[in-house]
Amino acid sequence: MTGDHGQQWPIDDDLSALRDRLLRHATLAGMRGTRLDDLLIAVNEAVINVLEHGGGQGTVSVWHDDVRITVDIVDTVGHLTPHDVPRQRPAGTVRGFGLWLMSQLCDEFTIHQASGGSRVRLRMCLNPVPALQGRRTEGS
Amino acid sequence: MTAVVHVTAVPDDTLEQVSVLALSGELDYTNAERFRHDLHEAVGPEPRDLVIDLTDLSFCDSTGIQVFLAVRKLVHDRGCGIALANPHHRLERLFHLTGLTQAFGIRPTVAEAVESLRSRRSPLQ
Repeated sequence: MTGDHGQQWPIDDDLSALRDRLLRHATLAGMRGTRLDDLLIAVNEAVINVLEHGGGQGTVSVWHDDVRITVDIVDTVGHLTPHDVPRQRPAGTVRGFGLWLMSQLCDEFTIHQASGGSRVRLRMCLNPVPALQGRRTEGS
Repeated sequence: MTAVVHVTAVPDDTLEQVSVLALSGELDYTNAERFRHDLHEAVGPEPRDLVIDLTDLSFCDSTGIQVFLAVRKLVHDRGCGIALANPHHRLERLFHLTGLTQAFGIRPTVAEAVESLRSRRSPLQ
């Protein structure tokens, strides 16, 4: 097991610093390229939701093991539910884009609502899609 | 240090009827309103085609996209066109996923973005 004990940061309006920390952690976990960007965009959208609709306070927790990296974004209001996620790309309005993006960008996206807060969990596999390995071999 | 976006007008006398603005920094929820103000100021009151050079904009989120949509509407309402040039792969991904790549006429370079607006004005005979 090459995982870690994880890290947790409070949510504030310094999104740039938060993105830097996440990038560092995810890079150490082995993430690169588009999938790293996808995780970054998704986590940023989840944090925006907390700032805009989730009471403005909460935490971001990140940890990984051999298989995947997990990021939990928790607010203190608990209004967000799985029903808020649009099934299709929102048209004509940007509202709901954030949740829809999260659903498209990550390997796993779940919302758990409880009285003390809502938790968005975003997960990426660290060694995804065995089919890609075949393609990589072809190219080498 | 929170994120900032700088909006810089690119002076070029050869660009008739086209304004070029270069952005740099990170655009997100915390500075989108400020950026909206700065961008509208830089666009000005004149009806001109607009190219936005995204080369040095390293991040954009859904609130940033909303600002781009608003300025696109402003430019279109004046009968003019807009094109975005050379987005970072993160931005390209976001525009693709939100289905806005076509809407913004995204081009790999500023020159190609300018050309796309020119050819729109004077279609080939």
